[in-house]
Amino acid sequence: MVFTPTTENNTYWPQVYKVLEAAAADLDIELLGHEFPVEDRYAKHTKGLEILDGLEDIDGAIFMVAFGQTKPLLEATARRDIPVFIQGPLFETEPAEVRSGPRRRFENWIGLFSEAETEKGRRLAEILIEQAVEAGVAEGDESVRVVGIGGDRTWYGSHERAEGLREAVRNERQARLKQVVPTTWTEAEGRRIARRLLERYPNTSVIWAASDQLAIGAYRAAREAGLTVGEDVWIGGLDLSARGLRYVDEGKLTATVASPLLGYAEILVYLHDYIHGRDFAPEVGAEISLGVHTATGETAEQYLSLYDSIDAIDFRSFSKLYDGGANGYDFSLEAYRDAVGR
Amino acid sequence: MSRHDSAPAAHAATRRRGLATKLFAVVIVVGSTLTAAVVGIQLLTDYERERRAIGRALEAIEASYGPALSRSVFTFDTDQTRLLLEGIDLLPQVRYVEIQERRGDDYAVLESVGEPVAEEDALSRSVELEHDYDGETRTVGELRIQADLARLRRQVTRRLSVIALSSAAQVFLVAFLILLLVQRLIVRPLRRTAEFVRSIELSEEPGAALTLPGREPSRRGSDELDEIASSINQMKQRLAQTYGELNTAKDRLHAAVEEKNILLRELYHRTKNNMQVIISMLAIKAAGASDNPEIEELVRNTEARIYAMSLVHEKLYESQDLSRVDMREYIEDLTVFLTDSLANGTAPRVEIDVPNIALLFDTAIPCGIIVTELVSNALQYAFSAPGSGTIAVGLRREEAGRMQLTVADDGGGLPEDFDPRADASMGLKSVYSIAEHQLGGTVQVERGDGVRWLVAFPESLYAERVSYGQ
Repeated sequence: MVFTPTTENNTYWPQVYKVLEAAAADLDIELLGHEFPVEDRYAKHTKGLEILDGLEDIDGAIFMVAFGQTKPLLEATARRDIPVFIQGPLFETEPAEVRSGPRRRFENWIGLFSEAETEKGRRLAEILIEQAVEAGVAEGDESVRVVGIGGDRTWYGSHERAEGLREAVRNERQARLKQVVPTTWTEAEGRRIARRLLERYPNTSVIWAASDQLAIGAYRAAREAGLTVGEDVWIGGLDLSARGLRYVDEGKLTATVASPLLGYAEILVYLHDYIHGRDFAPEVGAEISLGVHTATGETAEQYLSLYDSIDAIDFRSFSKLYDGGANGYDFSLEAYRDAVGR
Repeated sequence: MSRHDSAPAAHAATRRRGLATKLFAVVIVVGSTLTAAVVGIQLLTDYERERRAIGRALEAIEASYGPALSRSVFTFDTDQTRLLLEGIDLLPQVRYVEIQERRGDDYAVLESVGEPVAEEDALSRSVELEHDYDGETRTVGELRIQADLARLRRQVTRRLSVIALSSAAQVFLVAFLILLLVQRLIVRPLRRTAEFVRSIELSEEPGAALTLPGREPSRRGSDELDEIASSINQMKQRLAQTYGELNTAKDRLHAAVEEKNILLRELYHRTKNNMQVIISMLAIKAAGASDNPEIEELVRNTEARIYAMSLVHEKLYESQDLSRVDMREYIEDLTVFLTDSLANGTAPRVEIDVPNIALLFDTAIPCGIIVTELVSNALQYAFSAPGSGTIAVGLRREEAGRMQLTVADDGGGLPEDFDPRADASMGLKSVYSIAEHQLGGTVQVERGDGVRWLVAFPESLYAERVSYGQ
């Protein structure tokens, strides 16, 4: 089973499910998904536990973005010896037995996977600033004025992403970060905050967004303000979502940065192999960091075409259960492309 | 309107402006004025105190809400900003609150709650909203709060109106209570006292004493009104006593005066009789010397003078007034006597022009002697033919308290070289002497068709020597 968060009019998590379902179909996995409102910790805590207790014959679980409720989920699954993957990053407020990591206090906690949120934030900021500088925004005494539309502050990853933005600005002497504003992820929120930021800081050149949905909202606000992306303002998001990629491909966004959605299929393959007696940890470790990819106008189409071919990918080719374990795990883009139609 | 009739009217007028009513009006006016002044002062004081309290409240609001508002505005947390503004607006002093967000170098209204208040009716405070971000203090906007002073004024006015009305009611009730008490404790006793004083009549009997209504001396101590009543009662008693004593003294005085009058009349009567005896004796002597015309004339002249004096005494004892003689009656009788005794039945016509003037007998006797001398002289020498001519006797008041006696005839007149003072007989000389020494007057002789004697003298040369207490 899979627990995922969701937000109003979210376009990211449905794509995640699409990838997972495609992989589950190839790996002969019956996938049970449950979404919880991102702001509803109570539901995550209590309703999630009720669901777990009410389901029988669960062979494994993936909890996306546990929001500080990792321990009760681990305890619930431990009682039934269900192998669990947790998506990080872990909150600093999590208890020590959780923060100690997988396969220590909780034996059923087989792996912790996470994207490099700080790096994602930093890389997106670097690309946006770089393009603004190349466009001549920072000529003379002028600096590249950067604003950030952050994620939900209840998720620790939001903080890490914003920290990546700060690092990039600190490293770039021609850039100046005016403000980072936390949001609740929605496109409408991104639009509203971007509009307000553009009013407050009229000469803003870079709008950094913590998600593609926020970035698309910012794009709408910029257009309403009469700004042109790539000329007056440079906007980017963090998701590498299909929708974000299309906006990048159309020049409405400058870039989108994240681990590809296929990374969730990678975790499902690890869980599948572990359940079937093939432990992934000796090769890739129990704490898995998904690679960070950057899509700009030049590369966005490549990711889009891969996403469009998800149903054509044979995810069994990534499992050691099917290749006899002769080869190591390879979840590179090239491997995915090779797997299309295999 | 008589004096007796005007008293109730004056009393009624006094009652219309009674003491209690005046006191009631004074208490109302003074009480209302003081109440108005106190309420006015309190109004200003309360208003200023409330105004300062609102100012302090606005400062407290800024201090307590400022940081949170700065943070919510900076982070575009609209809901939180709105919630905070609504929280501020719920405070009783606040009527309008507004956030102006800094946008570049400009400010624009971000959120507002409540109704803006006109500046003249508002107590406004503005404070910059600052937020620390990345080690830098950012001015993110301005918080503007308005308190409605008009509402405060209405509240204070409404509150003090209640106080003013209750104070006015208190003043009226106190004044009305004073009115009732004064009416009962002062006015009614005073009216009773006034009626009692008006009813006091001179009598030797003291009559009923003054008792004040609603006062029982045995039940309460005496006060000023009791003292007044007691004093009036004592005065009435003394008045009756004095009136009795005066009546007694008056009776005694009347008796004494009557006795004196009787004695005086008796004296006048006897003097007149004695003079008549003297005249009779002179007549007897004259009869014995009928061959001597000088003696006969002397006797006749003397008789006439004595008669003139005795006639005064006769008029005095016949008169109610024992010191004054009615000159008209006196001169008429005197001239009749003179014409009867001297003209031998062929007297000239005598005209008397004397008003009813009463002169003291000290003046009347000299006047009578002068008239006797001058009329006798005219009867004897003025007319050549018996029974012809006219003798006019007059007496009149001149100005400044002077009298003028005139005796005139239309006879042959005085010789041109005749000096009445130097050349006249003894009789005419005595006219000058009596007029000047006894009357303090002057004698003037006018010549023409006959002779006209003018004797002027003061009316009040002598003082009244007999008083009758009238």
